[in-house]
Amino acid sequence: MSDATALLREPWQRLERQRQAGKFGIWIFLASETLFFGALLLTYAVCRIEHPDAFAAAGRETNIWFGTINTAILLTSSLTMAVASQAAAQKGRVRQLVLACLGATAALGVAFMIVKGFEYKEDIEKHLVPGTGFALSQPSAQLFYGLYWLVTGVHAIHLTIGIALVVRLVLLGAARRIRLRGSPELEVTALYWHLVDVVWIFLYPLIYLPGRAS
Amino acid sequence: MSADRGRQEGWLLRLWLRNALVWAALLGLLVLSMFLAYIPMGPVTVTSGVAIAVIKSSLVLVFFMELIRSRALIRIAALAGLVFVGVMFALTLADVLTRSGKI
Repeated sequence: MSDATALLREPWQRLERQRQAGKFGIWIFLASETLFFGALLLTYAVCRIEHPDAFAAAGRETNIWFGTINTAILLTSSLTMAVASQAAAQKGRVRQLVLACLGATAALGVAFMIVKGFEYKEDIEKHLVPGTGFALSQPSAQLFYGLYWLVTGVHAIHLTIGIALVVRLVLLGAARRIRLRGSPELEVTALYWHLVDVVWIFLYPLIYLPGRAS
Repeated sequence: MSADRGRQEGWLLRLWLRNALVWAALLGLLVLSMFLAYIPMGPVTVTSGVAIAVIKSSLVLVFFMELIRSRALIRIAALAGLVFVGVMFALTLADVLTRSGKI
């Protein structure tokens, strides 16, 4: 069975058309995700403009090491995902490399979630959850932490979905139930993964860097 | 066979090298943004963090997400999201930043 026959799905008649449609579809979805996260970041921007001192004080309470390590982990996962995706588009013998890179990507995603778990634990212990007994005296600092929990929580949900999609590809690929070389599914999963990384790239300076210089 | 293997090893090396360069730049920018956050420069401190995030995300979009090699249709789809986010930010901030008093 040729690559094209193995990868072709209904209703497409040609693999190239299927690939272009899949890519176009995921980019439209990613554009809608950009608007979704854009709205959250805009809410943050408006609140920060109105309450700069409270946001600086709240930002200082975040753990910059957890944030920086997690950013490095996600950036590295994007490297392994990019290599997996680009290797799969080649004609050579790439199955082992693609599987290894996808496995590393999923493992780095899990590592991010573990670090985030430790960070959440610390935040809860420091009473940084908005509501009764909130640690900071400025009332507007609760706005920062309301957005912090919301945005990082929604990002974690996206990442969990990404990990599930990558693990699915690893399992199906290892069992030889799908062909990873030239797979449009792999290409689409990679694009989703990178967007989750891009969202975090913007969250990093907004959550972890405010108030450090003052 | 050995010529095939040599060719394969060649593109594998180029593949890793190309992507590792982008990754190294991303990590370098991450460290830079962390250090700049501790230098008191007023509004420039905030701007530098966001500006570096824009550069980092552009690197991911162009090289890892391969917009550099994508068709015009894909680039337009990617641009559409950014344009509408731009409109949303521009219209909202045009109001917020020009208010005379506090809410």
